[in-house]
Amino acid sequence: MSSVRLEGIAKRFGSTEVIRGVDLDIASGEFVVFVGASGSGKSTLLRMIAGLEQPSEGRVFIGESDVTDAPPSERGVSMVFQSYALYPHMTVYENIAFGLKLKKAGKADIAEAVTRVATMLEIEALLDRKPGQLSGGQRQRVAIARAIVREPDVFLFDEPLSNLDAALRTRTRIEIKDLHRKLKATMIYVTHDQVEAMSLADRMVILNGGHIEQVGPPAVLYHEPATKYVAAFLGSPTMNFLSPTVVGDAGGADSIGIRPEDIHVAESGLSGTIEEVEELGETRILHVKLENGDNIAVRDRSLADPRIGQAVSVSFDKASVHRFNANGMRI
Amino acid sequence: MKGKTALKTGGLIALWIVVALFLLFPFYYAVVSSLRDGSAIFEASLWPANPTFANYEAVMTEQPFARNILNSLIVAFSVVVLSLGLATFASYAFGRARFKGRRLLLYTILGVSMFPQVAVLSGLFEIVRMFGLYNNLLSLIFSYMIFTLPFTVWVLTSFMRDLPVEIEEAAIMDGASSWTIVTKVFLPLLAPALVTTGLLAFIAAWNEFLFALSFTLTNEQRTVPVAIALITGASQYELPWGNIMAASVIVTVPLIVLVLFFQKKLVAGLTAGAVKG
Repeated sequence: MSSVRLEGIAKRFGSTEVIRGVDLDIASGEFVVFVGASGSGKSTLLRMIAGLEQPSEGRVFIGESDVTDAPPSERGVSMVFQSYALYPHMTVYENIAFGLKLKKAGKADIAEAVTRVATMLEIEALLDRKPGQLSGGQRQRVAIARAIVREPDVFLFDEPLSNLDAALRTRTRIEIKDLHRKLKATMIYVTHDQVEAMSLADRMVILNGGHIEQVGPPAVLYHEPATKYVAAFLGSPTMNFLSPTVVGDAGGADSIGIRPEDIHVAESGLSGTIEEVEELGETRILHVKLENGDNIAVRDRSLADPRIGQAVSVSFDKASVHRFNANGMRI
Repeated sequence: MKGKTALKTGGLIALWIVVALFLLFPFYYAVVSSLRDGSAIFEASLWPANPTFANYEAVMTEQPFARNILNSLIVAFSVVVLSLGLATFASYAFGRARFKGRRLLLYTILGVSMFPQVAVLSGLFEIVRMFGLYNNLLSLIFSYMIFTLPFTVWVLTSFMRDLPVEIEEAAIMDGASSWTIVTKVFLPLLAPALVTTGLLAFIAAWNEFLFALSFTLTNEQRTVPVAIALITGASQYELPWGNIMAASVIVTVPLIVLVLFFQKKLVAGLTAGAVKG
């Protein structure tokens, strides 16, 4: 395992700037997740660490060595692709062994390594099959096995779960986390799914328009978002943004934000009418239109039978209010 | 409803029979004629009264026809192997690499195939003479690539372009060189396209007449189409139809065998190419 360091990374495709000035330190053995909307540059950043893309500016370090100009195979990294990218004409065994064969490893060594990884991922029974005969989840495991077998210092995952169905995605997520604990390897993982990101990450990197909005543990990002963008990006339903006059003294804030779970139906407070009700089982989301015209989401199931058009009052704890200035920075 | 479907099916079957007759009758008549001896060949019946293999014997003994077949096989196989080899690597560059003048080069290659054979014949003849290849099979192998390379390059390029980029990237991450990627990863995936284009190149080279006639002189260097055209009878005024028919049947059989053998892959390659444009 190795640390990864990015220094002043920029990437331009023609005249479009995809990544602008990214600095990042990833500790050895850390699980870091790059998350952002599509077009935020998260995949490009990952591909530059892999060596599939050359940065226009800046340096990439893996461990102590500068690998900016090194080819992918000499960086000690391996990658799991979104489409799995298995070799369709090779059996599972040959798929996993391909990299080792190119490294001119001995036949016995290859067989031993493949068997070991296959056992770890519970795909021993599939070794003679072709990728076309496997289910999506099984292909995913083969792709991970192929990445593991080379014993890289750094694992790169490019949205590896986005082709799986929801149930399988949740299960595989836990397995990847488990794998990280077993291998103690550095892992960098790209996703646009914030739940996936929060559940996996030691630290999350939130990207927006090619620059880093905030880096930190999921809980910190959720509870103390540094910018309005981060505040809005994390959480579902998204944070409510209200005009600061609602709280009276806003401390010079341009806008304030309150998470839906921090607002409750109350005897008194801000009054409004229920516009929509989402019943989610363990909770209920009320969409309320306030008297001043602001729309807010309230996560509350205390009302026995909420009806659309019903008048309600909502209140919140002042301590749960996030304040942002005109530039979208946290105050 | 049922009657209508039956009528439709019946109509379709009738249509296919007509098409099949149209396509196969000439070949059938060649087979029948080749089995007739002497003046029986001028009978207009659909079945030979006394089938005999005398024509086949004659065609093999009266001239070096076996040698001609061997020549054709050498030329056609060489053309297929060289075209596919060159086209595979060319298509990797055209389909995968970005470089200046890529489109221009691709259209130039297409442009080459637009010249009629007669237009390039005299110039090509000079080149063949210059290299000292006149009356040599190498001249045919060389000149046939003029018409096989453009379409092999184009078809393979469109296939190559449609192979998923991530597979190539996975191979790069595994430490594969460009050579390994083409030979170990892409080539097996291109198999249907290779079979289709290879077969078309084989047929084109096997049937070619004009270059073969112009660049060879002696009977020992001729390929089959020329040899058949130059079969002569006992006198200037006699055309040995029996021998010609026998020879025609002999040279058609390898093509039919090849197509039947690769039938499945051939259809896969043709339709895939059609969908991908």
